[in-house]
Amino acid sequence: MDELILRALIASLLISLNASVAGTLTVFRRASFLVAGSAHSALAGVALALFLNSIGIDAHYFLFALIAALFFAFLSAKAARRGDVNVGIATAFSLSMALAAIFISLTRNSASNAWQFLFGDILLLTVDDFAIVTISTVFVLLAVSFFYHKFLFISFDPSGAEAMCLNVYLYDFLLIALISVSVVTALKAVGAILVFSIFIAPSSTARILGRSLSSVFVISFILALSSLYLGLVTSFFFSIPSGAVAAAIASLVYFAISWKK
Amino acid sequence: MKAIEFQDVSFSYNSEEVLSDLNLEIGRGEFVAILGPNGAGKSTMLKLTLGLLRPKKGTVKVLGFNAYEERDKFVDKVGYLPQREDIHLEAPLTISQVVKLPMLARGKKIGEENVRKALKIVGLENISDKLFSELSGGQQQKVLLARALLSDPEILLLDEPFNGVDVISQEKIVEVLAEMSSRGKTVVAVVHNINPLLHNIDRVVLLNRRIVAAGKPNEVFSEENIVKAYGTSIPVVVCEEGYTHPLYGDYHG
Ligand SMILES: Nc1ncnc2c1ncn2[C@@H]1O[C@H](COP(=O)(O)OP(=O)(O)OP(=O)(O)O)[C@@H](O)[C@H]1O
Ligand SMILES: [Mg+2]
Repeated sequence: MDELILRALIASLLISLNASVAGTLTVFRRASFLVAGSAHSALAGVALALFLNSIGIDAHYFLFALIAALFFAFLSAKAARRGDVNVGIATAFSLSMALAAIFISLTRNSASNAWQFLFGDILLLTVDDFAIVTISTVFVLLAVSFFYHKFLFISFDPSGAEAMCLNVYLYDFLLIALISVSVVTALKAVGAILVFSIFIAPSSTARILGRSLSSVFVISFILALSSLYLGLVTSFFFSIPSGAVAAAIASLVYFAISWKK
Repeated sequence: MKAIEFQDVSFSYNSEEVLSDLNLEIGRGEFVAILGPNGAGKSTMLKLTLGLLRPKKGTVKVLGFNAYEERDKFVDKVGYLPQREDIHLEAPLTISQVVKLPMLARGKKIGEENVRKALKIVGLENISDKLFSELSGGQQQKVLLARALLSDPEILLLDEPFNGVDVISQEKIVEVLAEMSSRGKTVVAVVHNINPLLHNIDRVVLLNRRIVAAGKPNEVFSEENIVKAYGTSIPVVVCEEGYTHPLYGDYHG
């Protein structure tokens, strides 16, 4: 099999793990807008890296995306502390889009590069990209399993958690940071605009269908993976972008299920 | 040593003072109800007791410890039942998962036997695998009570335990609380309707930004005090056992 295709198949699997774990925890914490926010601020980081590259300065997109997304996480957690989560997220969101637009316009020959980060292309992952996806997926899974019960408790009952001496602010920040890492991991493969559908739609669908914690994780993993694979197959036969097809499928499934319920 | 002490405590979230000059001592084994209109500062008083908020003035002590500064010293001895509006139902947790979650989150082991015991106290031991989100309001409240009981706390703080609870469940909850109090545990319950508890409590605190009155229910429910707390008079009746019942159904919201 073509190496690029094999890489795409395995990367889809890893990204689905990210989508299931980070997406589900986001949905439990009622913060799905966060995923969109951190994806778009990551994009600002990527745009800056691309701009720096174009003027001859070495900058890795992943690092810049990560820093931008973590900075966004920090702002959102601070805003959440004061109770105005949506205003905080929305403002940081448009700030990062503005920055992304500015950096992209400053960058020569940027269009195709920026395009990949906007809409993703899982068939264009380099060996480097693939290594990044693998390592950060392992990292996210380990970290989440370590803090799992704390995240759950805070999602269920933040005041009870606070009363039990849990540092809700700290763990909220950790959760948001891990979600950001997950989102950045999927950025190049799925794209900043479509990452929301791959992370949130399957988890929201799974939350409607699942009747236990584990079933929510499993269902969202299966939904994310089948969307990504169907996207790959479609793009193989009809040469349309696989990420867009995958995002469309995941979103349509969500609407179909929430319609029925 | 008292279970809970408020010494000249004032508190404000921003500029406006929410609680002013509270002085109150609650002895060990006392069963106390806190009563007052919406926005009176009842939940705030519980949060000060839990050490979640820092008094602007004065000190709150719990089991002799400064509530804000030394809360890790008594946190294991306090059970807390939050106002149910603060609970989010996104995650499909079973009843027994809800009961165990605080312990798991703090990295502590819990025996299944203790979980079963806590659920048995509130009469839900047979449906421990049901989803919490699919229970009625009263059943959810009982699960949260079981959760607060799990560590066999010295002090039990309850924020509106009867909110959305039918009469049968109310009676069950009162029975559990009275049982706790007779075993020497301190129970403090914020309520909007005192009547289900009236025969069991030792004292009632009438609160409206300050303590309007505190003492035996019969002393507290005078026309004057009720007007001071609620701004309007509420009829009272004395039942055949000699307790003064305010006649109102002051529901939350
Ligand atoms: N986090 C907060 N920030 C700012 N103000 C607050 C906050 N929490 C409560 N308040 C204000 O403090 C006052 C007391 O609130 P508190 O929740 O203690 O009242 P309560 O007696 O429990 O009312 P209820 O019967 O509605 O539960 C109210 O005026 C409320 O608006
Ligand atoms: Mg309250």
